[in-house]
Amino acid sequence: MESAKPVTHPILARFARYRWDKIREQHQVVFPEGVLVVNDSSAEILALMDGRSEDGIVEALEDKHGAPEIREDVQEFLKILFLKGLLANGNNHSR
Amino acid sequence: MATTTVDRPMALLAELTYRCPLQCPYCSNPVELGKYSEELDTETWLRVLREAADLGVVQAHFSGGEPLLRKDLAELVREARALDIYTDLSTGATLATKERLAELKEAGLDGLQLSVLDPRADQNDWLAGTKSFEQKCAAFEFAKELDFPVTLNIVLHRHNLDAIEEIIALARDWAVERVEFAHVQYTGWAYENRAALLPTRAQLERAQLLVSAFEKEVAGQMRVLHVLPDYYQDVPKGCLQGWGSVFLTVAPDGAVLPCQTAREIPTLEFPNVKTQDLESIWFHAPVFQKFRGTDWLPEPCRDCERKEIDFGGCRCQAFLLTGDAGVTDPVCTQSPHHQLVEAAIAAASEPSTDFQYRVMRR
Ligand code: SF4
Ligand code: SF4
Repeated sequence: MESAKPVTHPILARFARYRWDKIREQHQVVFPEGVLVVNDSSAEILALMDGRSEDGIVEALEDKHGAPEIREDVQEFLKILFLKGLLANGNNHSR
Repeated sequence: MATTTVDRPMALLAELTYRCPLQCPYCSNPVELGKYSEELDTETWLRVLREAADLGVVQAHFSGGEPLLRKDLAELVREARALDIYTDLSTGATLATKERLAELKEAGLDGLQLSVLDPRADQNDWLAGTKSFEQKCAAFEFAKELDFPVTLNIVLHRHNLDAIEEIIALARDWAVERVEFAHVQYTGWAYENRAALLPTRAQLERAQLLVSAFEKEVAGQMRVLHVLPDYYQDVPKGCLQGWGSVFLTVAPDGAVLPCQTAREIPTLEFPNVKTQDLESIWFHAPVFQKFRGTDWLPEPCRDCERKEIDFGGCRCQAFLLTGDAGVTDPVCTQSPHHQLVEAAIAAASEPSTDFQYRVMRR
């Protein structure tokens, strides 16, 4: 197997799930060995991780907020997910 | 410690049954299995799940024994999902027919953890004490067909550590989403079989390099978890993320345990869901307070910078090795009892294959 393929269409790993915690009032990504608590803007990125490309996510956010550093925010959050093993490529799976 | 400073638990380990068709010699169930043969009924488990959700639990791990022996498993999974609890199942997979797995999929099960004892069929069957490898492979195929994200679980020890390449090959071959390499934790049955299971340092170091290389190679495609054997570390594993801090276990008979193996400590008394609700147990039961936080810590942990990381190590291990659950885990090189661990490691150079398979006994 060659080295890790780049993730072009980021989605959450299939064993991970987003949920809103009513008791703690926080966004969470839950996976078998733990829970990642994320802030509002990361949750917004998560909601857009539906199989579209990274550019597609950035564009959608820019349309909504028009802020300049959106691409960096997206890349930074995707990196966190990648390092935690929670990122998959939407193109790899038929869904 | 006052109630207000105690966090709500995140994870519930629901041990649905201690019954199991396999006899793994490192099983984490109590050695005195037969003492706890009574099992909670479906109604009570449903109530436990509701109480857990109210208490703040966000994930439920259904485990055993073999949880597929419970006919109400899918019903429990469905309830957990309705409560917005993340669900996963640890199974030995010999009972995982396509029908059962399809039922679980439909109930909303999020993930499936499938254990293989050894990548070599004959070795697997020898370790399990039962022919089971073929059934595990079949279960894996069903899981793929049903589009379950699968974790391959493999417990590492002296007898399969040298087959690490084959284990890696199996993970590749199956293209699982996650693979967990977990060294035996020497409590329960594994403690009884320690002389036969403890690997040598050379075995361990070789395997560790191969697993790390594999982990790097598949980063972004497969999640690799690697649980190291604490006997060969200088500091202990954390006691979960603190006793009574994140996890709770409900045992098959309804006993509520701060950790899965806490029954090893005979001086502890465990509350039961049949007579008390989870909330009052979590916040008030003496057994949850006993080793909570860091105030109770003995020397040398009291002044150690790692005390918030490992909480003095495993209470069950401290008890098993020294007879006192309240001392520093002897795995720690600073423990006054550390020579007990060194002696066990020295003994590992004279291996024995004399297993005591897991059996029901009183
Ligand atoms: S460790 Fe083995 S014997 Fe114990 S419950 Fe799991 S599969 Fe069964
Ligand atoms: S002295 Fe105690 S707290 Fe420090 S590393 Fe050892 S077990 Fe952990």
